[in-house]
Amino acid sequence: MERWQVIAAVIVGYLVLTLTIGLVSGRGASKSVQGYVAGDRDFGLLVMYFVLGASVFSAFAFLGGPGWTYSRGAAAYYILSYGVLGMAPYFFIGPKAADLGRKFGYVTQAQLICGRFPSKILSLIIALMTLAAFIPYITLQMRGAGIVIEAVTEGRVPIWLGAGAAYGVVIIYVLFSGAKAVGWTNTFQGLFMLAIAWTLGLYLPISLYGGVGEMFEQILAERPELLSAPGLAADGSPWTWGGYSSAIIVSAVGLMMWPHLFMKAFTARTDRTLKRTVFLFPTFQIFLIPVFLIGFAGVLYSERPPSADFIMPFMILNVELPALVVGLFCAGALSASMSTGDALLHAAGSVIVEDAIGPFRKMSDIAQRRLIQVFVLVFGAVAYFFAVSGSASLVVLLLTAYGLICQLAPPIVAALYWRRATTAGVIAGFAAGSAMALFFFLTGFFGESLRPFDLHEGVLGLLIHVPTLIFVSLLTAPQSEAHSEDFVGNSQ
Amino acid sequence: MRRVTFIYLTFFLLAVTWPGFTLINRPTPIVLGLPFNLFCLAVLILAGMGVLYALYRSEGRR
Repeated sequence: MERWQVIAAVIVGYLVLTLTIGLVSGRGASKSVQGYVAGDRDFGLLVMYFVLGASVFSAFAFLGGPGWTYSRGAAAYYILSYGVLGMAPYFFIGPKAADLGRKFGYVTQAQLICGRFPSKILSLIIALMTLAAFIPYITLQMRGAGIVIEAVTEGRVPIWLGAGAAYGVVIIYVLFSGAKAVGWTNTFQGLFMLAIAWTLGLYLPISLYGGVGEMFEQILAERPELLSAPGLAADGSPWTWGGYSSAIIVSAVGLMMWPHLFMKAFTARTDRTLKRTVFLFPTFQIFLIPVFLIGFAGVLYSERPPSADFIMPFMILNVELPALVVGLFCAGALSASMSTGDALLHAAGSVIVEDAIGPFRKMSDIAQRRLIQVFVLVFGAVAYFFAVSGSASLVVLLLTAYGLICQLAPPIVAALYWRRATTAGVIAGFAAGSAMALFFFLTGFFGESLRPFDLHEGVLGLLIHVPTLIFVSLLTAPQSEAHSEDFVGNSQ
Repeated sequence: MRRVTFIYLTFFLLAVTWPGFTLINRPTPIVLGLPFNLFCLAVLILAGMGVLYALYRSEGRR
């Protein structure tokens, strides 16, 4: 067998195994919406840990992380800095949301927000915004999968085929098994990626430089600017402290507000499971360090990849590894892409049906479940189209997504902790914050950046969002005490 | 324990952003193979895990 055939065979084996796990895991799930969207609220610690952890290890972290350390050096430290900050509030918010989910039957984030602040329009806006953030995100994951397969098979399996095969598998298990498949495949893929990241992260520095410390000493001698925060900006000029610090804040605020992650509060079996997931989550931040080492290992390497994002497959192909090992590394990268992509596709379908259509049209449980499956298929097809046609402007959409997603944080906090918050206040704050974030993003994108101190547009949005929410709430009539007490008043 | 957690997270935020991070933002000495600033980040994260674990022990079982 030729080298590329061995690699392709390993990938096919990995895909078959993933598909099997995905299909088998869903057999016990109920046929209800709760079963399909929230896994019957029955995820244990192992699955919860990997469901949340695998999302950190998306194609962004696995391919983009090494790309960042390779081209921007210590700028990538920001990715390590926000995890603990972003996850800790979930210790309190998660169980509280889960409790309300059990009480009122919520399976999505918008249902929780709009349960406290009844507004069909707000629900629709959140759903559409989620979709606007998700489609480019899914597209990039798909494209990442296609790129890796094309690279390691030396172009014999083109992007359209590689992405199609990997995501064909994802669509099948998401369609048939829903949240359960996402949970159990992520567990398998998570273990797999961790093993690959550690092996490669230690192997490359040792084989190329004689050790991790030796590698950093050589980088320090030749490219010292890469080892001090805030590192470099995308264009190679020094990054600003304002940009670096506000990237940490926006990511910390936004981390658990991504609907596909927040929704997982509704899948946990018990509060205890959720809380244990929170204190175990930082281990995934530590697991990112070897991923960074992969990128650093490329810094002094004589040849250059076509773009920084290719540094990982590029290094793998250039250090003369056996075909079987290359195949396994490739499967690890596919795991990173697929474990994020499946959660996104599943959440996109769920959110559109539950939050954009549900409030306007009553449907039976079976009809909802079926419609979610239809949308999973539709969004998969749309993302696939973009992934194959290679539209670059999608990256731009994703860059601004965090700025919008973090605007979901004030409504969530207000819904769960502030009795005096009103529907008008939340809508006004949300609109003002999102408009602000979009304004600074668009002016920066089409003309000169107007952002003071290079602050992230999401932070600027929050600076307007929170005061608006408070002022408008105080100016409008309070909600009935019994209603706000349902949400704010419990022991958590 | 909630207070300790809150204080630690505030400290963490100040330590990893400007200007706090400038105090530890040096590549040398290289500790356990990692540049000093990256090593400090790893220590901060592990300590954060410890604090969250203590929080869980004190009230997570309710």
